[in-house]
Amino acid sequence: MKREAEVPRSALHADPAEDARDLRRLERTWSPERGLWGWLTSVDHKSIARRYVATALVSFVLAGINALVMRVQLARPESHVLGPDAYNQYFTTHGTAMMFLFAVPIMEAVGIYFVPLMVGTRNVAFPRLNALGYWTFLVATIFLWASFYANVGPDAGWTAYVPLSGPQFSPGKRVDTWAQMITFTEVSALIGAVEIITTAFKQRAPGMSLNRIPLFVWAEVVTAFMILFAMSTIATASMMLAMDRLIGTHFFNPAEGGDALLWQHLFWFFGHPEVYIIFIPATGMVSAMLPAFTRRPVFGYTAIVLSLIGTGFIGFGLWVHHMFATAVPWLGSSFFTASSVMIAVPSGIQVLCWIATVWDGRPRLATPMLFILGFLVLFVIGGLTGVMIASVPFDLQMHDTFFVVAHFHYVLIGGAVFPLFGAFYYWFPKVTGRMLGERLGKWNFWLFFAGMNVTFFPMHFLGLLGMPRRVYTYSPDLGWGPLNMTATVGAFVIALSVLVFFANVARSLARGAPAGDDPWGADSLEWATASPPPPYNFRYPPVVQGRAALWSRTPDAPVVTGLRTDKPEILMTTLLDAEPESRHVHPQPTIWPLVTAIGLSVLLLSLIYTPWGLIWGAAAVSIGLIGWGWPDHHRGARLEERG
Amino acid sequence: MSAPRTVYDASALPEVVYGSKSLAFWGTLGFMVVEGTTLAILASSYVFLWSNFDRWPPAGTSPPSLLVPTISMLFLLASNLPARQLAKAARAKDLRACKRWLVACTLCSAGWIVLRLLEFRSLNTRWDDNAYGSAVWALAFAHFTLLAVEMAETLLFTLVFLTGHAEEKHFPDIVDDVVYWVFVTVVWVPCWFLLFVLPRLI
Repeated sequence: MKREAEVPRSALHADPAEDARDLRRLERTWSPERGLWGWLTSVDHKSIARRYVATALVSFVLAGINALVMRVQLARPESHVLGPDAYNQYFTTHGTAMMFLFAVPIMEAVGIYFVPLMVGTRNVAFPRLNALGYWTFLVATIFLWASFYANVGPDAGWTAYVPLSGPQFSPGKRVDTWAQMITFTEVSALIGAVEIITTAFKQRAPGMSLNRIPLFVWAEVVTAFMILFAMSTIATASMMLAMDRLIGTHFFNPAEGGDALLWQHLFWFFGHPEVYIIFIPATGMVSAMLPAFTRRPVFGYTAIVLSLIGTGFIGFGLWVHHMFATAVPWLGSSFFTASSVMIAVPSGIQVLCWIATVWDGRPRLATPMLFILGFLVLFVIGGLTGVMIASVPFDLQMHDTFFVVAHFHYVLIGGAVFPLFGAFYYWFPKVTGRMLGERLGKWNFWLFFAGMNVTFFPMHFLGLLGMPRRVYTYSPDLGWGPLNMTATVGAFVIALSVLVFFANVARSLARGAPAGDDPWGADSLEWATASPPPPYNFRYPPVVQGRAALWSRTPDAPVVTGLRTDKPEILMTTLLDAEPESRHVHPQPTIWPLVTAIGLSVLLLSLIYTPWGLIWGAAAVSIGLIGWGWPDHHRGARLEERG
Repeated sequence: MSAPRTVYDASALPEVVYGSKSLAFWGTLGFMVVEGTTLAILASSYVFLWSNFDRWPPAGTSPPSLLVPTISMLFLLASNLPARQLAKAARAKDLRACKRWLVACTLCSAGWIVLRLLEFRSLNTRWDDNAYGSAVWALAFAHFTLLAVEMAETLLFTLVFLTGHAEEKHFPDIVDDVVYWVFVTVVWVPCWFLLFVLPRLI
């Protein structure tokens, strides 16, 4: 074992040769192995987050193609592009993929990439677990799309309501595909949540006390807490559904005392917070981007943090507003109407804080800022229709019509996808080292904004005219044709805008302008390192001197030294004030998360066909976990070797 | 910008820390929340389904036996005594005591599993009899999986220590394992009350 004096540690060197030697050692310690093996064993948060984003974008495109095909089918009355059975699979897979394989994971993935950078640390808290999360997510993605293209895609709606999804009305394996896919993605989401909470709580740079945490990190932390409760619920519920179908339990079978409404309660106890799980990180992105484009800190930091936390709590108290059309007691309905209206308050506070920031700042209309402004307009429209359907009498009229489809697309595309696209433009330079093109960016925005409104605004009227959602066609005499045709044209405009985005990405990767460390003059720590960041993120852990970490930094850029450079060491700090507390050696790259994910796949996929899958799968998972848990010693680390 | 300046030298900070200072503690806490929520959802479903029945357990279904489940629950609670000794040994970095108490805890956890398997037979219903049977089995089986996970983790630590592979970093990991041990044993008490006592009282 090395004596303490021989241990190489980071230090500020006057001698350039010594400095370069030190840097090389740090790079060797943190760099992943090369080649395919390195790719399979990587535990670097940036590498894993990039894969998450890429995989989620594949689902975004495929689910978008589903939407286009559905819009072609609905453009004219009595069309025959899709039959009813195919249409059921198309809309179920569209909704399922957009929610579980795109929106939630991509919001978490952006957090997995940027939370460690924004709090000034070198990796997420549990890097191997993080890799396991990605591999399970990848299996879920492949599984859902393979099932869909093999004509065994889920077909009972993304809500999988019983009794339709039960064994009696959905024989075959389509619903099982849905239920197991849910379990997979929830394992991944729960892992991501634990990562983000622990990283933000224990690995912040010294000086980043709770009241200096960047708003995006706050948003990711609140979301992560919501995920812990919401995703556990849907994973449990989907297992109950799978058991009703596989081993004959009766949770949702009224003939044996089960209850179809129990499914709705469990589903929406997850499903409503899910909307905020998607929306809250998006608000964090808006708060992260605004300072750079208004040249001032976001107005009302404390109010925004409290609004985020308030939204997190209230978000769990309004699930029954999805069930007003069921036999819920009137008093219960009134309570949930009140709570549904109440959640507009914290969201309203955030909107007012952003407007005040723009008002008092010097807005610069770069592409990310356009997406922010677009978000404000669209989200307010979606929010207002939300307040309308929070009212029981109105909801009873609009329930299961296209009005609701219009509402939630305004909220989810306007409220989440617009900030996400803004964030792509904002953070792309950090991730790749190159700027995205501004001209194509503006085309991307305006086509998206126009397409979004042309597609979804007419749907409000279709709903008011009584067009139900989830119907594969309609009769010409109902008069819904022109509005549907308009919506279909809009959908193709959105598709064009997404094409422009990918063209912009391809062009920038090939010959985009170099970004430099901080192209936007932004205020948070991810801009204090190179673009793209090195494997160790920061040569020296930074010390934070104010809420806007870069804008308040004194010219001598205070740092922490003394971490080992021959081991992947990170600095741990206290929960409240981020005082340095300990050093922690991070796990090395390893294949075991992938092996464990394969074991988990055996477990979950075999459970579709036989209950004995539990035994085989448990054995398969155990192989992975034993390999994972068995110590891979640094030399001299074993206690009995040391005596 | 001028050259950076050191304001804090981290070299003297400890590498091995316990409790809420360690990362593993927060991970354990996160998974306790997930598993606690799962049990709470299953317990809520049990209560929700109860409202569909005039009698609970339903007519024709015998109530579960009380003896074996109560012995099992008390044994779970009693197993915290060796677990506590294990945590003390780990905090004191006492390698020999850790080995001793790890073996004791592994045996205890094997005892949990045997007792729970007997307990399944005392439920007096099958999962596919009716919604009552489904709800009872779901809660009991979900908790059984937590017991199995805890047994596997403790067994792994025992093997690592007995085969001479233990490192200093494993001491705080053992303390976190005991935190999880307390959780899986104590969380069963309200479940036991719900499944075995409450239907007899109402």
